[in-house]
Amino acid sequence: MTVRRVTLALLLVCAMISGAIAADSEYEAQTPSPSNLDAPQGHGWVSIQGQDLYSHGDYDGPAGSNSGNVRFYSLQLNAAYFVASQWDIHLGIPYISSQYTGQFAHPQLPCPPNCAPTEVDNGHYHGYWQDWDAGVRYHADLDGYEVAPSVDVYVPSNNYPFYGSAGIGQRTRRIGVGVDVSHQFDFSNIFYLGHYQYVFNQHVLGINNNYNSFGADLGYFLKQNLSVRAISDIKLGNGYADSQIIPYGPGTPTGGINPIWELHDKFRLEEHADIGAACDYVFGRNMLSFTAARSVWGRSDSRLTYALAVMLTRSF
Amino acid sequence: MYKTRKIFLTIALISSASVTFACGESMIQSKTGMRYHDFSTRRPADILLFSSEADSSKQISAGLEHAGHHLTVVAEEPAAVDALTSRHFDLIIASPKEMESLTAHLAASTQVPTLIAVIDGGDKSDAARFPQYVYQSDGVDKYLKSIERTMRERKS
Repeated sequence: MTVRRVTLALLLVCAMISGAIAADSEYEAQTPSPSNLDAPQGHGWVSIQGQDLYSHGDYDGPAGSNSGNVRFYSLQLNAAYFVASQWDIHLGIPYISSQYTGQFAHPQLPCPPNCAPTEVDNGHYHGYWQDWDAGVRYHADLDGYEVAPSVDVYVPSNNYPFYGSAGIGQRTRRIGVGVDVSHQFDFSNIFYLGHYQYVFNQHVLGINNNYNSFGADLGYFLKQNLSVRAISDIKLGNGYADSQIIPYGPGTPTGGINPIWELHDKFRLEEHADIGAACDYVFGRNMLSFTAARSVWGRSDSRLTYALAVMLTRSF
Repeated sequence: MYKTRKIFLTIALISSASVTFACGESMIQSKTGMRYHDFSTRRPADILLFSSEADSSKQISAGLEHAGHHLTVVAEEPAAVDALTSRHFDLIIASPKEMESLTAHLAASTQVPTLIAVIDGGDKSDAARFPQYVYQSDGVDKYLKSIERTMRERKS
């Protein structure tokens, strides 16, 4: 089953890359892209993104910086299609492989009651497809300010393990309502991008775990087809802080055999602020983006030491 | 065997009081960048460009049209008068000398276009005479900025 998933992913990747290599060589400013809102019906874009994230320790966890190391390698596939002028529908899914190393892996819980799997914390890499992201976005040009409100639905693509330091996601259904804004100042090479999304997360044990995700990028065009950006991304919201989870953990009389501990990875607070830099290069209908980031603040979240990402987007 | 494993597990659970919570973000929000946009006006103007210098007027008119303005380019006074007679313009871009040749005609017009003078950088008196001006050596961007400012003032 896993072999079939990996093969499918590789085929998709190869198809996208071969399409990108066959790109036009001239710069085409008017081809639609996620940030180019001159978007005619029947066009769209596809993208493939690879990320390498490494986290060392926690911001608030009881073991703090000694709580271990987690590495995530991911490959994300996205596509958008303009079903009408200014209206796109988009679909995406990431494949994530993760590894935990350290002294404080999530312990295996007795099975039953919930059979929460912990094999993700055994020091080996484990890969799974994560959540489908399907959505619709409207692109408006308001006197030079490009505004794109959107609605996204996130649905787990399979029963991937959520319990563990190396869990690739919360395995919850979510609905995100957001808006993207971009603007290039007149007669200037300076631009900015902003994004905001409020996510209604599937409540677990009746615990509110909705959150806000937002950020802003400030960019500069070194050339018409080459730009650099300072980026930020912040997540603030609801959920249980570590101080609320610890009383139910394995070190307590319950031994962690209780719903709060078993399911805590679904509603842990996980607030953070990431900053970084990005570089975008446009060739033909393609945009190649490089991003490097790290977290500078967090609450009840892992401490992101660094994240590297490379993304290829091709418009059609 | 199962009982032994269960006891061992219980000991392990109790001893692991400092269990990690390192479950966190598995991906960062990495957005794609922005494509460069040439300036595109949001206030398209009908412009009469009166210039006897063909090369520079060709370059300027191409830049202004690319930004979304509607250009009529003339090189001589009779053609300029014909153009002014046949239609309305929001702006006239011309040198002070060329503007003077149109003074009589403009005085008789009911809707007077705004004048943007193309002046010599060394002549300070021209700069004082014309509220809106660009220098002869200016590039398209300076023309566009002056047009934007003028059109904004006309609308208000």
